[in-house]
Amino acid sequence: MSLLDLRNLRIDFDTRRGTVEAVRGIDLSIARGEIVGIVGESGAGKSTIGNAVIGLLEPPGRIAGGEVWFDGQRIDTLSEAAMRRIRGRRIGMIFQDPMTSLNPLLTIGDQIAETICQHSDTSRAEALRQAVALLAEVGIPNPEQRMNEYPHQFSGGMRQRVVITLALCANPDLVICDEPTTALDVSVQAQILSLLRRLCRERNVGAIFITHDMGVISEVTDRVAVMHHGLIVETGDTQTVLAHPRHAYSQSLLSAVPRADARLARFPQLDYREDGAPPEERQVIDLSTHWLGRRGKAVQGGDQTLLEARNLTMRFVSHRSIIPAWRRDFTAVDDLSFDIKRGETFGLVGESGSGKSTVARMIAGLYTPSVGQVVYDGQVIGGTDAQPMAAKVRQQIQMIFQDPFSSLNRRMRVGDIVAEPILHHGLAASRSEAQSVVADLLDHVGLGADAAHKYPHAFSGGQRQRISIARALATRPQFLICDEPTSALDVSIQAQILNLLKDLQAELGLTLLFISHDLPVIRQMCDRVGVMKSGKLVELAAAEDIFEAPKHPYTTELLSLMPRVTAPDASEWAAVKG
Amino acid sequence: MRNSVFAPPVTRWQRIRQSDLMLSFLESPVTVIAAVGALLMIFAALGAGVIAFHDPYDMASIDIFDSNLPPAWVEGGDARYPLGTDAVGRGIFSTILYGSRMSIFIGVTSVALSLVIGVTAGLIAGYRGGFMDAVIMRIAEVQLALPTILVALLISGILRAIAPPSTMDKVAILVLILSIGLSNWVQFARAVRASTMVERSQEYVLAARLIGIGPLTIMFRHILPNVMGPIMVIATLNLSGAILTEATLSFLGVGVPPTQPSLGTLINGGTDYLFSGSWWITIFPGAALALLVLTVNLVGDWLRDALNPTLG
Repeated sequence: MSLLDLRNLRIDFDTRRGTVEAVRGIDLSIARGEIVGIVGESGAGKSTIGNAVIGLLEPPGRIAGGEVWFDGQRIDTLSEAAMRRIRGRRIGMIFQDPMTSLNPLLTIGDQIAETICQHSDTSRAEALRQAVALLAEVGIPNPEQRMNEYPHQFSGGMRQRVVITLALCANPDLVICDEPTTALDVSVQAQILSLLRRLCRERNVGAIFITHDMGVISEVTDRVAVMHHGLIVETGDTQTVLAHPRHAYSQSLLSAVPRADARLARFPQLDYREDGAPPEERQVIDLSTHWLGRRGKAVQGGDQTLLEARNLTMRFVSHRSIIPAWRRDFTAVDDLSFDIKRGETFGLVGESGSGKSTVARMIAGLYTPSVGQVVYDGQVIGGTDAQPMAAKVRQQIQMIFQDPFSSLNRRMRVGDIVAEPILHHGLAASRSEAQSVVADLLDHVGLGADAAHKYPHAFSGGQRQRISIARALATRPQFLICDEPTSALDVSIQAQILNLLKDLQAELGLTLLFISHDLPVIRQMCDRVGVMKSGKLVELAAAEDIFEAPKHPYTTELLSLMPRVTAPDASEWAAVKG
Repeated sequence: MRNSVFAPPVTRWQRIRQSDLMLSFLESPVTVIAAVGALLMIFAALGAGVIAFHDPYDMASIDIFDSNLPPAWVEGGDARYPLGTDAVGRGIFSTILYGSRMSIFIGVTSVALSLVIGVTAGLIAGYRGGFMDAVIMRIAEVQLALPTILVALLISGILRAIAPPSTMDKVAILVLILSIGLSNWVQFARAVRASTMVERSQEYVLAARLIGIGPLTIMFRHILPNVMGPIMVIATLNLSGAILTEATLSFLGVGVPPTQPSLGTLINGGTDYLFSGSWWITIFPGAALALLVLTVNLVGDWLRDALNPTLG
């Protein structure tokens, strides 16, 4: 008999503007000791299922139909008091953000001991002894000593281990993991995934593993359910589904995952649309006649250096004081030098805190480097002794930001956002010309000219990123800095945005600085790659060399930790294309 | 500031009708009643010349034989004066209308003054940071240490010394607006500064800097519209406070001269008769003041909750 059984489960959200059907009737069962993955893009309803099972569905969400059976008992109709006896004791939960799922005012030992006492008749002394053993089991060194520390003294990965301990300390039969490694770096992610897998095996615990990441699914799960718009479109053995997806949506989802083993010219466009409409054709820009072509200087190919970073160093003040000896600072970027050639895509890769974004902001002129210079086209544009950037140079360097939700002013119409650089620099002869240029740019990034009249909140993350790209293009730039442009997006949207960037680069001869923590994305996008660790550049080489013959041990380590999806053979399902 | 290049495809009214703010407004009956009450009082005050039964400050329209009449429903009352009359025969209902017109005028202008000063100071302090921030916020702290009444006395003293005696009535009103306005800007500055510091590091501000847009344009065109929510809340809540302060100052004799009506002078004028039995002279203006402040406050409280995303 299965441990958890979802039968035709439906979940609705009643809003002021009508009912949203988040989950539209799904069947799923999980056996003891089995790890079942639920994978899908944002808005697919995967987290809602987890919350509904554990009885933490927040109003206005409600179970609109179907049944939830847990270990022979129907639990969706239980009272809150009865549910509280199951929650934590028999079903554990691990959330995404280890920073907010621990109480910052209690020591780690107290939090675990309290949870143990809550769920069983254990004395406090015994609970503390168990806590030490559990912390040792999840791989926290010196558990006796670390028991008395507070959450802020733990790193992100260590905190997630504590959260896992909390979920497992009452010996539950089922654990629901909601994106447990999304907030973590790859190296930490790999450790947490293998820990979770080992614990589920040893303790014979069933697990629901909710994630958007195909790599994670392939690492830990036994079976997988692919969700799309509140429905499970495909379930099956993980390796089978990943290698031979049957449903068109699973195929499109898998084909969008960037491959780490080879570079493709473009991401395969297997856009799954429910209505079956073919993806629209893009108009290719002819630079000789197009507005974007009217740039000051023609773009030349070849090995000419466009941008040079010379000994860039950035120190941030971490402790201010009148007395110089008490001042403390933190070196985010340490003596970094590289050059970017005209027309190439230069990648910077590294884990969080490695200083990649600081480098981008120094080059863009948002930060002034503490030491060193940025040289653009033979002109010093950044550095302590650099002249303020002339408007002509300013125009040429633009940036696409990570967060599509904060990078657009929510009080301005999209048309005004894109028109602003054109009007500011006087790049259009008249307002009506500015309007038509904006309409053309929006059309060209795949949004359609009508988007100009709306406000940013009317658009999804991927569409907003297209607006950001249109805004960046509106100054007729030569050099585009992309700071994690797709890390907040779903894979299929990521593939579309990266394809758009590739197309634009080819058409406009743009030079790109591409920053990402995601190695497969870097491989797909970049010609040359710099690997950063703790503010230093540890390796710089052609992308193929980095991936095929890494020289620095840190690069090798990063590559080995990268979760790999068994690359499906796209030709097998060529029939569904278009 | 530049206007939108793009004309809206839906009318502004449609957008307001369908906004979350409007829906949340209609869901709160107390707020709807308070808003209707506040609007009624404000319109009645603005239309005092039309609505009032007579102009109590026109000597020709008052009759000393009508003095100290009780409200119409009390024995001895007169239907021409529904809320009774005062010691010189002015109808209380009419004086309240004229009085609240003055009170609301002073309240709105003084709040507008503190809003302009506070928002500008807050934007500069929050966006510039560093030295400018330190200077502006220290001035704000000094300001907080001075009571409004002291500021009013100070400004009143200065203006009375430099202005010709014939303009004293106008000066008195100016004193009120300046002293209330200068006392309340700190709240605006602090709120705007805090929100600006958050907005400053948002990526849309970085994008604007990358385009090459200057700091003033970024502050007023990009950041200001995004920090307007809390400003509107403070403005509404301050409006009732300003009306109360006006009443206090006028009651104490620093504000509006007794020859001109305001809710404060009316209450002040009536206190002498409170124990001689003519309670209506001071109670009705007092009730009008309380009602006006209460309704404006209720609307402000709702606005604060409705605009706070964490309260859902």
